[in-house]
Parts: sequence; C-alpha cells; structure tokens
Amino acid sequence: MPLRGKSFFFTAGVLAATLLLGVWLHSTRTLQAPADQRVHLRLAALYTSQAMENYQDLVDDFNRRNPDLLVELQGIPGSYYDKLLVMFAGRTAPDVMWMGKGMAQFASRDAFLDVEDEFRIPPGHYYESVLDCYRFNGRLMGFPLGADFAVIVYNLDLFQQAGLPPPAPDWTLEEFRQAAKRLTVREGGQVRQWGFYGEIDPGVFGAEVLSPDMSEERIDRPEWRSYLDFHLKLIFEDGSMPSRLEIPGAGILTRRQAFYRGQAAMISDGFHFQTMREEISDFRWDIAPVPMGARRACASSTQGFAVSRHTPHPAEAVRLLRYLVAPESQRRMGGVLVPSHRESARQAIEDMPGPPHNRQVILDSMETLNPFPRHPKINELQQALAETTRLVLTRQQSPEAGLRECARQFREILGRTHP
Amino acid sequence: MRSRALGIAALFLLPNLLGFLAFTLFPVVASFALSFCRWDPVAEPVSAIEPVGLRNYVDLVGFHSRTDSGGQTSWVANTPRFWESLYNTVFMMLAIPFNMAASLLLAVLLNRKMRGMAIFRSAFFLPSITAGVGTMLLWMWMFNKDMGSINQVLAWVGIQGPDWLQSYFWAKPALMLMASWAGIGGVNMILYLAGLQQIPRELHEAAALDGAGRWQQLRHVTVPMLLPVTFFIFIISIISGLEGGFDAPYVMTGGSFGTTTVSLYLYRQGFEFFRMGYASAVAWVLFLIVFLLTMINWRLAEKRVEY
Repeated sequence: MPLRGKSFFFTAGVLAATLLLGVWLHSTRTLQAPADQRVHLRLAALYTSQAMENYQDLVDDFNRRNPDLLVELQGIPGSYYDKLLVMFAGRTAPDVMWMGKGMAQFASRDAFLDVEDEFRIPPGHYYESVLDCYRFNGRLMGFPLGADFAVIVYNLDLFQQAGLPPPAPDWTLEEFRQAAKRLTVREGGQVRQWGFYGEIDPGVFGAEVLSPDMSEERIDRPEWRSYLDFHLKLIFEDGSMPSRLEIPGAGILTRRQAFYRGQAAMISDGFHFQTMREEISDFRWDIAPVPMGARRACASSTQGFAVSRHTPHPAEAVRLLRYLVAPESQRRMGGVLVPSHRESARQAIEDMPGPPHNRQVILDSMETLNPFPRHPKINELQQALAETTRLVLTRQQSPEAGLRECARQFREILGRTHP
Repeated sequence: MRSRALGIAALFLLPNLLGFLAFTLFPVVASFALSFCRWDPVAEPVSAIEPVGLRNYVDLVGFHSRTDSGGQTSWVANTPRFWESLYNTVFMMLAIPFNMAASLLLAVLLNRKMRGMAIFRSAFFLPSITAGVGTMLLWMWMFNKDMGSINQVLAWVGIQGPDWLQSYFWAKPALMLMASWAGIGGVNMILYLAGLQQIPRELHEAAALDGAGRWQQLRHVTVPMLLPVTFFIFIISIISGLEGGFDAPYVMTGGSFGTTTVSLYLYRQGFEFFRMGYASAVAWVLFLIVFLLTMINWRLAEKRVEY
C-alpha cells in the first residue's frame, strides 16, 4: 500500500533524520582528528601470530622515533589479497602494505608508489635477484624485506643407513634421482619411506614460462617436457616419490610432516628451519642445494612492503617504508625469511642456531632464485600451469597433450586485450 | 489512526529497507551495469570504467569458427572454461533427485512415535549445521587414497579405491557424496517431516482399510500429498545447486580435476584475475539460467502440483 499524507512525511522525516545523524557522526569524527597533530598512517599485513608480533614491535619502535606520525597496524587474517582488492576498489587502501605473492599482480597495475628515487642502493649491497621481484619497468614499486626459497632438506641418518654420502654441493639431477631411489624403502609391497617428496624447480631443466618481454609463452618446449618426465620417472618408474602433490586434498601428510616422521628422506622446502628444529629431535638433518641441471634455480617467493599510490601522505608513508625494510628491521625478521640486504642476510644466517649446518646453501640459493614472471595476469598463468602439472603428474593427461593445452591457454590469456 | 500505524510500521521497516537498498539492490543494479563494462578495480578508479557493450557476454557464451590445418571448420566456444564449469556444476546437481528421495525416506522413518526419536532427528540434522570447512577437512582425510577410511572399507570387500580427490573421474562424485551426507538429513528432511505431519491421518487409515500396504500408502498417499513440499525443495535445490558449490571445491581440490563450478569460476575471474566486468557478466548469465529453470519448473508444477 503506498504511503500517503502524514505517514509519508513521517517516514521521510525519519529517513532525513537518519541521514543527518550519519553526516553528523562522520563530521564529528573528522573534526576530532586534527586535535591529534600527528599524521595517521595505516599499515596492513597478513595476519600470522609470529609475524604480527614482529611487525608490532617494529611499529611501536617507529612510533617512538617519529612523534609526528602514528602508525596503526592492521592485521588481515586470510584472503589478504581479496581484502586489499576491495580496499583498492573503494580507494581506501592502507597507506603502506605488506606484499607477498600478490606483488606482481598489484604492482603491474600501478597500485603502488614508485619509490625508485627514494632508495639509494649502493651496488652489491642487496641481492639483485630479490630486488628485481619488486622492479616493474625498471622502477622499484616497493621494497623487499627478504626471500623464501626451496632447498633440499635431507635426513642425514637415513642417508647413512642407505650407505650414501651427504649430497655434494654440485650434485646432478641424475645423482639426486639415484639417491632418491636408494632411500626408498618398501615393506610388503607398500612404501614405508619415500626417497623424495616435493618438486624440483622447472628452471633447473632450463624451462622458462614466458619470453623475456613476456609477450610469448615458452611452455610447449622440450625443457618443460624434461621437467615433467623427470617427476614422472620419480613417481611411476622409480616409485621414489608419492604421486599426491601438495594441493588441497592431496593427502594426509604434507611433505614436511612426512619428513618429520621419517617417512620422506628428502623434501624440497623453504626457510622454515626454526620450526624444523622444534619438531625434529630424533634424527640429524641438514640442507643441500637443489640439484644441478641445465642451470641452477630454486623456487622462490619474496615478502616486502609497498606504498599505496592513493595515500594522502606519500612522504610519511615512504618514511615508514624505509624504516620497515631497513637492514636493521630485516635482521629482526631474519627468522622467517632471508633478508634482501646481503650483510643482514649473512649475519642472520651466521647467528642462526644449527641445524642446518650447511648454511652456505642458503646464501648461494639467494643468487639463483627463479620467480614466476611478473606479468599482470600472473594468477591466470599460474593457475593454468598448475592445472597442467597436476593432470600430467597424476597421469590423467600425457605430457605432450598437457603442454599443448597449457600453451594454448597461455596464448589465449596473453592475447586477450580485454580487459 | 491508520496512517499513524502505517508510519510506525514504516519506521520499523526502515532499517531493513535501508540495508536492502544499500547492500542488495544497489550491488545488484551495479553488477548489472558493470557486466557491460570493463573494469580492473586496482588499476582504474570507478570513473575510468569503460563501457564495452555486449563484449563480456560474447566472450562468455559466444562461439567462433575455427579452421584446422585440414581445412575443416568447426565452432569453438570463446571461453571453454566457462562451459566446463557449467558442466561441472550441472553434473554435481545430478545428486539432487537422490538426495531428495533419501531425505523423504529418512523423514518417513523419523516420523514415528517412539522413545528417543528426538535424538535420532537431531543426529541426522547435525551434519547440516556443523562447520563447513571443518567437515571438509575430515572428508579429505576420509577420501585419502592410502589411509582414508572409505578406501579401507572398500579394501575389506576386495575393491581398490580410487584417488578420490585427485582423479578427473572421481573428484566430482566425491564432492557429491560429501554434499549428500550433509544435505540428506538437513533442512530438506525437516521440511518433509513437517509436510508428513500435515497429511491427515484419515487418508492413511482409509487407504489401509482399502487394503493398501505400506509401500502403496507411501506411493499413492504420502508422495502425492507431499508434492508441494517436494516442488519447493526441488526449486530451492536447483537454485542452490547452481549458485553454490564454491566452498567444497575451493577447500578440497582447489578447483582442479574438473571440479571448478560456476561460482568458483566467477570468484576467480573477479577476485583473483581482477576482471570485474566479466565476473559480473558470469553472475548475470548464472542468474538467467536459474531464472529460466525456475520458470520452467513453475510451469510444469502448475499442471502437476495441487496446493
């Protein structure tokens, strides 16, 4: 029934009053802000209890040192990039934000402030391979705190039991494969101990995802075939690696859990040595470089911070960024990733309690990082590649058909100008 | 007096109305408008949204001709992934008739007067109210190829179970099985229970006097009398089947092995690939499918369902 007469005016009055109340509340909040003379900055980070403690310490210290600024740390648990996306869409993005694997997707869309001129980087002081992950069109669009990467973590006791020497620094793919075979133990037709559980980076086989100018796919190539064939041999020919890949639902044991339980003699894993030291007490373990193939390469990811292009306080936000990624701050974060600052990395690794003992592997690996190309459609490309790998390595698609289909998808994604 | 009552009613409705306008109507209208545009929310402000006409829809549901090396021309979908996700969604909806039949059967069994029936009813309802992700993780254990309880049970009868969640053939049935477990004893069962209790006892008594057995009573009395409830459940199941199916593939298979549903596809396009206009078009095509199916169902029901 339509509203008429008094009821219409009454309803309209209530509506207007509600709106006025909202406006008044908003304005009082806005008016209160200048009473506090400090510039307020919002810093967003992916919420994990350990990281938040570290970040909060950094923020408290920064606030003490900069009385004209007040930084509020905002921990975002789960779906971090979804929330950032929504904030960017609403132009309410935090002034400074933590970035991990989403860096390429956001930075390539010009989401961040160009900070190239804000950092005077003395040559050789930082790992260029890590800095490159934050460079777009030759300009720094944020700054990396450090990197995480995959090395081979091995059970030294199981190596000795199998009569194998520890892996040599220059071991080859074939030596690795033979070791994995020797380390595999079967009982009653079932594998009791896997030789290896993980993945060797495609870069080791010389495989590349895109051409250097990122305009063409490089998927349907012999190098990718070698990469798939090698893993297929480990899984189905040698039986030294489980067929379940680490994807949701893949299996009960993650590779790390299998390693802790002595059910995997070698795994490929990242910089989680502190957790390993806590979890492993009944066997000796160490790390080795990823075996040598066509070249040295290891899967990697970086973490760092970037300043929103829409921040109303760019100068102050850059000041915060410089503090967050300064060598001193990097050393504080040294327990969870390898600092991008060489000297800080060296110190962090030196100060780290053992195991691992073969720490040179960590520093050497920093020179051979093989990140995914920083293409604006990185998520789509990664998804297409991951789908192919899963289907081929579970023998539901042949390597030829898988790579052909993946290459087709890549061409479709790269060729689509809209949007 | 009447206008005063209306005014008060309007006042009570106002918060909901405002919420509806802001959080339902506006997003619906905005997404419809956006489906004819190109917008990357990170790269461009709202003011830079670019109208592209029907291009998103053509990309989504259109076909183009392709001539192969042998000179043969064929029609190819512009976006095979969308059709694949629609196929996956419809495939997983094949469980709906089975689930409905099982819910009805369960409701008939639980519609008896006996001690402890409330406990049974609660027990069967429990899966539908347990936390989604938690139960999914449990099912992931159960589906494990080597150590999962399902394959262990199959092994007792000499069957080697498949790698449920990593097989293109078995991943969809596995998700359907889990959805059935959660759905059979859920709201559908409660609706059937309520429907059963509305059937006049005299009808069953008359049928019994005429010599109808339990099965005949079920077939000729219970099922026809429950048609309105069945129709309602069917419509709701179709709608939720088309719109749902996001969380289980997202958590359990990551959308691999043929388990990407339309809703997961939509989420990826919008929130992972930043194609907001295209994702909106997916949402509207999905709405259109739901709308058409519901209309067809209503038309069919008009002839068969009596209230």
